[in-house]
Formats: sequence, C-alpha cells, structure tokens
Amino acid sequence: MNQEKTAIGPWLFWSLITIICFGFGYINTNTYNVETMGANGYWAIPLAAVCTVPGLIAVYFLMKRFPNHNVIQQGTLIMGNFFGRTAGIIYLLFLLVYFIVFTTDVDILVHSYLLDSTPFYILCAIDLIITVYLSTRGIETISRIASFVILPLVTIVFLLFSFIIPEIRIDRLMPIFDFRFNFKSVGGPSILHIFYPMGLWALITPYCHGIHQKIPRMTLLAFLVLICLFLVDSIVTIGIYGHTYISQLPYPSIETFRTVEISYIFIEQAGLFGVIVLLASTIISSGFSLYAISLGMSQVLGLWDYKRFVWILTPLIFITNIHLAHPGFIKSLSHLFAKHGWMVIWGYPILLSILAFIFKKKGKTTHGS
Amino acid sequence: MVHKLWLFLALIFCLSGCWDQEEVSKRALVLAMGLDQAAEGKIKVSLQIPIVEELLIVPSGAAVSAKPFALVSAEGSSAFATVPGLNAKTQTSLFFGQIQTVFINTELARKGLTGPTDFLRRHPTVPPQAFLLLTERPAHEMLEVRLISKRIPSYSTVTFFHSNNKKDQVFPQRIWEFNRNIRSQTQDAFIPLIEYDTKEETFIIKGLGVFDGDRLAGILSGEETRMVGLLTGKTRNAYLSIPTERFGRITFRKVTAAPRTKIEHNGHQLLFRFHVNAQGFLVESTRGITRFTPEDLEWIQTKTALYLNREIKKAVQRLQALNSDILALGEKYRAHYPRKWDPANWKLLYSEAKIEVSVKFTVTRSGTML
Amino acid sequence: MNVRSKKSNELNIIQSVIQEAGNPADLRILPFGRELSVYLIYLNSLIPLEKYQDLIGHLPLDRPDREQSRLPMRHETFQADLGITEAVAKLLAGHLLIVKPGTSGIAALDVQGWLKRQPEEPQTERLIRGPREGFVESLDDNIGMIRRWIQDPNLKVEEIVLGRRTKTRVAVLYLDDVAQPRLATEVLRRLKAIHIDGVLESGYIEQLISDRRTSIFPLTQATERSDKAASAILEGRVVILVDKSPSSVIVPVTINEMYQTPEDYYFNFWIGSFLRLIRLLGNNLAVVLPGLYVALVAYHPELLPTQLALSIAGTSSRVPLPLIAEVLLLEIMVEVFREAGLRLPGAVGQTLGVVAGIVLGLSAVQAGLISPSTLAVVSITAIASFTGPNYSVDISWRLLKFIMLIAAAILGLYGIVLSGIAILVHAADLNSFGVSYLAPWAPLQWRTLKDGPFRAPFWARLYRPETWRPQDELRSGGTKKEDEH
Repeated sequence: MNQEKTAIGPWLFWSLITIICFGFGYINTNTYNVETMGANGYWAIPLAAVCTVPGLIAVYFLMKRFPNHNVIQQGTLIMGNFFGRTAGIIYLLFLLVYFIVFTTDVDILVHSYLLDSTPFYILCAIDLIITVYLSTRGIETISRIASFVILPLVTIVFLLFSFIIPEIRIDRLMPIFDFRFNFKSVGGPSILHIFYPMGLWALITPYCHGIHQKIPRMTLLAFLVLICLFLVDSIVTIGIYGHTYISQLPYPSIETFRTVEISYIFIEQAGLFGVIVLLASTIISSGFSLYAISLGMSQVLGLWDYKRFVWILTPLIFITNIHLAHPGFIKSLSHLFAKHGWMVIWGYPILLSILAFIFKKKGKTTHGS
Repeated sequence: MVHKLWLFLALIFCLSGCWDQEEVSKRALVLAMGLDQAAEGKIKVSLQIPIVEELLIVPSGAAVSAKPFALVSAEGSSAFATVPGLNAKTQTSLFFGQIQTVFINTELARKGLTGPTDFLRRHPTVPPQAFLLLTERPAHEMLEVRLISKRIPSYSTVTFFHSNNKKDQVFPQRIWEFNRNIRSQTQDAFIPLIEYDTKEETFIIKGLGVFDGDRLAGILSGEETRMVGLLTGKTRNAYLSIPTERFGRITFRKVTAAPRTKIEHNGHQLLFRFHVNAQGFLVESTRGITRFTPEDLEWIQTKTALYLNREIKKAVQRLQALNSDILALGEKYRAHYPRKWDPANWKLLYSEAKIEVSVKFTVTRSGTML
Repeated sequence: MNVRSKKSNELNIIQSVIQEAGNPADLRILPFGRELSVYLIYLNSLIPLEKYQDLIGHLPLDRPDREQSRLPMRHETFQADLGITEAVAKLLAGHLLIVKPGTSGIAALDVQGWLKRQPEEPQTERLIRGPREGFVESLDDNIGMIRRWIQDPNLKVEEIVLGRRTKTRVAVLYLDDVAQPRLATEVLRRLKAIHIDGVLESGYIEQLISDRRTSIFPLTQATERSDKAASAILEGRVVILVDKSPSSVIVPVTINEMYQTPEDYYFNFWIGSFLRLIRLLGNNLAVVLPGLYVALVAYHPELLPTQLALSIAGTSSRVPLPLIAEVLLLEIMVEVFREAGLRLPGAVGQTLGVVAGIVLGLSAVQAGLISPSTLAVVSITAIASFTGPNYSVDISWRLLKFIMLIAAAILGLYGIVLSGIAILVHAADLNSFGVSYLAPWAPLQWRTLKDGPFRAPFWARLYRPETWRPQDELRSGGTKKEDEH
C-alpha cells in the first residue's frame, strides 16, 4: 500500500515547532521583554534563543540514545519505574497547568476583543471542541495543519508589520547596546518563555525517526524564522509605544496590530485580521499541546491511548478555564510560569541526559533512524 | 459512537445563541463624539449619529432632509458614565466602532484628559485610529454645524487628515498616539485646534493645542505649528511666505524639511541643536520677477534660512515656555544619556535648555518660470 | 454420425443457448453460408448485422481448435470452441455466436456493434485552447484515445470485470516504469474487493475505492478529458476507465490537482499562473464571502469602511428579514436555480438564468424583500463558484460555504476561523491512496510547489511531482549530457 509513514518529515517538524512557539509566544512576549530589558527588549529574543540551546541539545541527545522513546518513557528507563513515573507526572502536570493558563488567556483575549457579549464558558467550550478535534487526529494531521498554515501566517504577519513601520520612532529603541538586565525584578528569566513550546518536542521524539540528521538544520531554521518574527514584533511594538507604555498593555502585540490602518482597501482596521491569523496559530498550538500532554499521560500511567486521555482531560480543562478567567489573575499566573517554567521544561531533559550519560543508559534501536 | 459525540458537541455549538449578533442597521452608529466640561465638575458627552435612511441616494432625485444626522447628549460624572443616559435617548444600541473624530473642548482639556479619555483606550470597539480635535467652542455645537461641502461634519474633518496637501498645518493625533503620549514621560501630546466659520460654513484649522502631561498647556498659532512641523520632518507640502526687500513677498510651496536634532549635556544644562535642511518650490514673487539669477536664488535661500531660523527658535522657545515636549526631545535625551535620564527631572531640564538652530534652505524649483 | 443427427446436434446447441440466455425477444438466429449450414446467433439490440456481412464472409470458420492455438485467450477477438455458458456470456456482452456444422463448440466474434457516440468536448470541462476530445461510453475507444497520447510499451492496461449482473469491464492504466508499483497493486486490490450487483457509472467505482467514504472532499479525480487522463498517467498516477461511462477516475489526488486545468500548460507560464491564481481566488471567495459578509455586517461593523457601513445600514433597514435569514434564503434559491437550470433544455436554461438572476433579484430588492448589498454578495459568490475546474470539488465547496456561513452567523469572524480550522483538520486527515490530501502544502514539498499556486515554466519543470513518488523522477528522460552528444 502506498502509505505515509507514521512519522513526521523534516518540513513538518519545522512547521510544527515554528507554529507552536509563535502561537504561545506572541501574546505576552513584549510585556516580559520590556520588563526585563527596558527599551532593549528586542535583545531578549536572540538571548532567549541562545539560552534555549542547551535544553534542545539535551532533548536531541536523549533522542539519539533512546530513539523509540519520548521523555516520559526515557524517565522510567533512566530513573527507574517509581522515580521516572513520579517525575513524568510532575512534568506533565506542569505542562497541563501551563496549557490551561495559556488557553484561558487566549479565551479572555477573544472575549475582550471580539465577542464580549457571548458567555465566556461558551467561548471556552467551542475553542476546546476544536482543540480536542485537532488533537485527536494525531501527530501527522497536526503537523500537516501547521505546514499548511505556516507560510500564509508568516507572510501576513510580516505584511501587517510593514504597514506600521512608518510609525516607529528610532529613539524609543535606543540606546541599542545599553544592556541592563533586570533579572532580580519582576521580569527575569520570563524572556525565555517564547521558546518553551520547543520543549514539547521531547514528547514526540519517537515520531522523528528517519529525520535525526536533519533535525539540527530544521531547528536552526525554526530559530531563524521565529527570531525574525519576534524581533520584528518587538522592534515595531517598542518603536511605536515605548517601553514604559507597553507594560500597561495586556496584549501589546495585539494593540500593535490594531494600529494598522490601510485606508484604501476594503477593510479599514486591518489589524483585527491580524488578530484572527494569530488566533489560528493559537488553536494549532493548543491542539498539539493537548495531544502531547495526553500522549504523555497515557504513557506514564500505562493506560489506554492518547485519544481517551484527551477526552478525560477535556472537562477538567474546561472547568479550570472558566474558574481562572480573571484577567489580572491569569496574567500573574502566566508570568509565574514564564519566569520559572524553564526549570521544568528544560531542566527535566537536561537532568535526564546527565543521568543517562553518567549511568550509560541507552535504548534499543528496533528500526533504523 | 464517536461520531455521535461530535454531533452532540456540534449541536451545542449551534445552540449557543449568537449573543454578539447585531446587524449594522440595528445599531446607532456613532460617527463623532464631543466631550465638554459641564457644571459641577461633570462631563457632557455628545454623539453624532447619522440617520441612515436620509443618506441614501434616491434615484428619482427627490429632495433629502437637510439634516441627515441626530445629536444626542448627556451629562455624567465621567465620560462613560453618560452612556446609559445616551442609550436611553436612542432606539437602537450605541455602537462606537465607527467613530471618526472626537472633539474635545479646551476647557475640559485644561483640566486634564487622562480620565475623560480612558474609555477610548479600553473600549474594544473604539477605533484606535480615530482622530482627536480640540475646539474652543462647545464640542456639541461643533457636532451640529452646517457645512457647505459635506452633509455630515465628521466626514469633513477626516478629509483634512487624509489630504496630503493639508499636512503642513494639520498634524493628526489619533487616539492610540494620544493615549501613549499623555502617559509617557518622554513625549507630550498635541491635538489640532479646529474652529467653525459661521459665515463661510466651513471648518478652519486654527492651530495646535500642546499638552503638558495630560493638561492642555497652550495653543500654537498657525505659523508656529508650521515651524514645529518642519522640525518633526513630517511636513510634506508646507507653504511658506516671507517678505523680502528685493523681490517682494516670496512664497514657496511643497516645503519639506529633513531635521537633525542633537542634545548635548554639559553637566548642568542641556543644549538642543536643531539642524534643518529645508527645501521648497518657489511659486510666487509679488514683484513679478521674470528671471532669477543664481545670485538671486542664493540671496533668497539665505533670507529664507534666516527667517526659518528665527521662527523655529521662537516656536521651540514657546514650547519650552509651555513646558510641552511634543518634539519628543525627552525620548532623545533618554536614548543618548540613559544613565542621566530621570523622568522627575526632565521637565526642569527641558524648560531651561538652550536652543541652537541652523537652517539650510534650498530652492528646488521655481515653477514654470526661471 | 449421419447428416440428420449432425443437424439435430446443431439445433440442440441452439436450443441450449436460447434457454440459457432466457429466450430474450431481441435474440435472432440467422442461417448463413452457401448451404445455410452455419447459424449466427446474436442480439439484435447490440449488433446491426447488416454492417458485418462482409466480415462474416471472411471468418476463419475452419480454424484449428483452441488446444492447438498458442494465442492467449484474452487477446482473441475470435474465440472458438466455447461451452454453452461461456457462449451465452459472450452473447450478452454483444458478441456474435457462430454454430457451425461438425463441431460441438460455439465460436464467438467480438464485433462491438452497439450504438456509439462520437467523441466531443466535455460540457463541464471546456477549454479555450486544447483538444476537443472527450471520452465516450466505449471502453475500447477510450483506451484507444489514451494510446494515441502515450505510445509507450510501458503503458500497462489491466482489465477486470465488475458487477454481478452488469459485468462491466473496468480498465486500469498506468506507466509501469513511472508509477509506484504498490499504487497499481493497491488500485487493483480495491477494485477486486468490490462486490456489487451492477456498476452503472465510474462514480460507483469512485465511491467504493475511496479512502474515506464519509468525507465531503472527493478523494478521487474524475475527468472526461483524454489529455488530462494522459497527463495524469505521465505523472505516475493511475487512470481507471469504466465501460459505458465517459468519466475516467484518476488516483491518487490532492487538493492541488483540483485547481489545475490542461489550459494552464497550453499557454505560457505567466498566463497559466494568472489563471490558476484567479481560480484559487474565485473558489476561496465563493466559500468565504457570504460568511465574511455576515460576520462583518452583524458582528464586526467596525471593520467596514464608514461609507459602506452607512450604505448597508441604510439599504438593509427596510428589509424585514434578519441578515442571516436573508443570506441563507438567497443562497438556497441560487442552488435551486442552478439545479433547475441543469435539467432544462439549453436555450430555456439560459433564459431562465437571466430571468432568475436579473429580474427576480431586482424585483426582490425593489419589493424590500432583500437588500442590494446581500444580492451583490450572493451573486458574486454564485459566479465565483464556477471558477473551479473540477465539478465535484465545486459542489464540496458549495456545501462548505453553508458551514462557514452558519459558523459566521453564530460567532462572527471567530466562527469563520474555527470552522476554517475544523475543515482544514478534516482535509489534513485525509489520504488518497497513501498521499496526503493537502500535498504539496502539507507536507511541504518545495519542488512540487512550483506547480501549485503558480505554474513554473517548462524549462524549470525537470522533475515529476514528488507527491506521487514516481520511480522515474526526471520528466524529460534526458539531461544536458544527452543533448551534448
């Protein structure tokens, strides 16, 4: 039978990690960047990329050592059944709560900007239905959707930003090389959050057999595209608003889009279309996250498959969404995860890779990579 | 079984009720808004709502109503607190998503605009690109004036900002820019001042209202506004007219400028250096000179440069006197002296700073005559 | 055996044939030959015998028996020594049976004498430039048309018979050295797995071999154009021809193929690319425009230019129906008119289109039943929906339009986004014979994207589309090296 492999190709991999990072990152990135680095907030992007590399190397190392297992399974193989499962459950619970916080934030965004009369729980439910539908289709479908959407999305985002460039004031971006990191205050490592979703790759490494050699190249390409996107976003937002005003905005990138005006075409407030495009990337990111978390849950508990867990987690996520729906509370929770999330998302694979290296643990290679 | 579950969920989707649905014909579209200071510290909000049936083009050419819009006003302790009162006066629900302009009375502006304009940035449907205009007359009067060219006043005001040829005297300030500037420590806001000529039934841009923080500090005249425009470099088609002994009154059109601003700090005082490279098309000489020699042009250029030098300096000194930093010199100072930047200290430094202006003017063209 | 008993032997054979065939009214028996000793048995409805009198005179009636013949059975036009059951099957398939003296078997001659249509340009696939040849109802003629395009010994023609009662011949054509071997095997496997009473049209085959039978998207491609079928074979795909059906079935297929016409390749690449973009724009407009209109007017009027918002508000203030009801009603009426127009004779259909479109529409506007802006939007949608070259995809898009319209009516722009993503998810989940339906977009196949929204010039199209994983990737079969020698 002329069938697709149950795996993802290099370009599907690239599309997936680019879209999920963009979907998760665009909402809050400028807030954290200016809190930590002031007018030089745009430097936070390449800095975050550099800081993410050790974690990615750890995931890659584990993938090469255990090509048929993801990070959850690797945990049990390296640390034993009990400690491995416990660590895996903590890791997954962290991801689940992060996912819930993120989806609630997005639902609040939709409720505030687009549909303020619709009851919040309806928005949560409908968003969740589509997310669940996507996540139950499997990794191949999710990556295909990401691949389909990535090129138009990047094009539209760059186009919209190009319309706002005349409003930039260079002085607001200067001084360019005055680095005063504010790690002790509210910001700190929160600048790293835009590349956290790359850590979800650790949960799908078994599907990357066959493309191990191409992963470094594809990851580098994803970094380049994401750095361009976020850098442009950051420069434009800081350039038009200034770093002090940005901290007052709940969604700086959205506000930047809303200032776009193209008077001579059919649509006046073109920015709202940018918001719609961003929401599309958010749904894909949510779908993938839910899939990865459910997959991990089914593996760590040794029960059923990921589809059942998607259905099990759905009511829990829904109830938590509607109870967390206070804008200030969600923002502070989001900030908490952004600031400390790197310890779990990158810390766990790094710890596992160190332990695997020390104890010389290795997995079996049943099929060629 | 799974398919039935999806169907059930899809039905929930369909039964959701369409809470946000309200057709445009069932909404009272607000095209313009007026903010006035009312008695006892209250704010009066006026809304200009078009009567859409009156705006239709009737094929038979029958006469249409003279007033195709309605004006509703209400007073309240804050701007948005008036909305229930305004809603009570309209048959359909108010919709702010099509606001073109917001007229603000100068009396209200002098008291501070952070409060009255806060809802403009919070309300999700208010377009951030709507224009703000200052008026010395009551804002609600400006909303119901009669115009010879347009049936709805707010259309006319918007045209000012969209016309390239008016960009020397009208510097638009949109809601999002205004909200940023009044909360910024490095830049102050400005709003064009608009008046109504009763005799000619038309709007006139009179000058530029400049702010210190969120309070109106003063009004720049038309000439001062033009000079400030040259300093910002946003002027695309300014007009300039200077008296000369040799050639009578010389007028230029399409005057543009490429300014460079430097700030120097000599320890306790700031020095603002403005260097302006301006150019323009010579369009009129009241002496009717038929041919300008290169020496004549050189003389005109020097004369114009001196004139501009003087006027620009006057304009900047006026801004200093009003304590209004609409040129964003604070931003420049912060960018170049980040360690010395102190927002609490800035306005003092600004008002005491020295000014140096150097202007170079070039006559690019002299029209169809030499 | 004496003469009398030989004669009664032949008559017994004829009686057996008549009985086996069910004694149909159109059965004819004609004594033939000089001594009228040869009997011809045929169905009058399938064979106009007068056309074949000369041919019959040259029949090798005394050819050797089958056992002495070394020719493969299936390629023989004239088969001798058939049993009663085999002979009746041949009779019903339109063969001429010959009972000759001195033999116990029956000979059958394949004359294909039934009525056939001349090839003409397909009604639904008209081109400005290109051959005016479309498939007909005869399988052999259709295979012949393909052979005229592809004169390659590697062109494989496999034939099977489907339908218990209709015994419909189905042919599978592919290039042996280009198409993936497992593709052809899988096609034949799926065809052989069909157990059905009768196959009346290739549409039956399409639905029965489809990967996902409940999907709204067509997972096979149907075409009546022989050049399109030949082009598909050259790319490494498989074409299925069904006897008595002018529509061929091409597998596998992706959404990208649904927007391509042969005309894109007959004009230069600028024109081809422009036409393709127009088609894409038209189709997307036809799906999204009504929903977008409802979303903007009913949910987000702040996105409309002010003049337009006021104009729509003014004209629709007199309309009694809610906007969504107005749009739905008009869309349904358009579909009704479209369906009605198909059934009417040509001239009346055109007149009806004019009457329905112009007169009824304007009357409805003047009566205040609908607003002019809604009429304009629905008209643009209706016209734009005809830009797609593939009829089955057009119908699918028309259904999707209703889904997006309802989603927009419930949640505005956000509803459009959600329904769009749901549709995309469904499409991404589809495979057509192992090929992703969204290829070359998903997975991204950069080389094949040159033949996606644009049409790369021929000098840039050296490789066959990697979507079909062809064995022989190079199109031209040669490179510069060959040219240099």
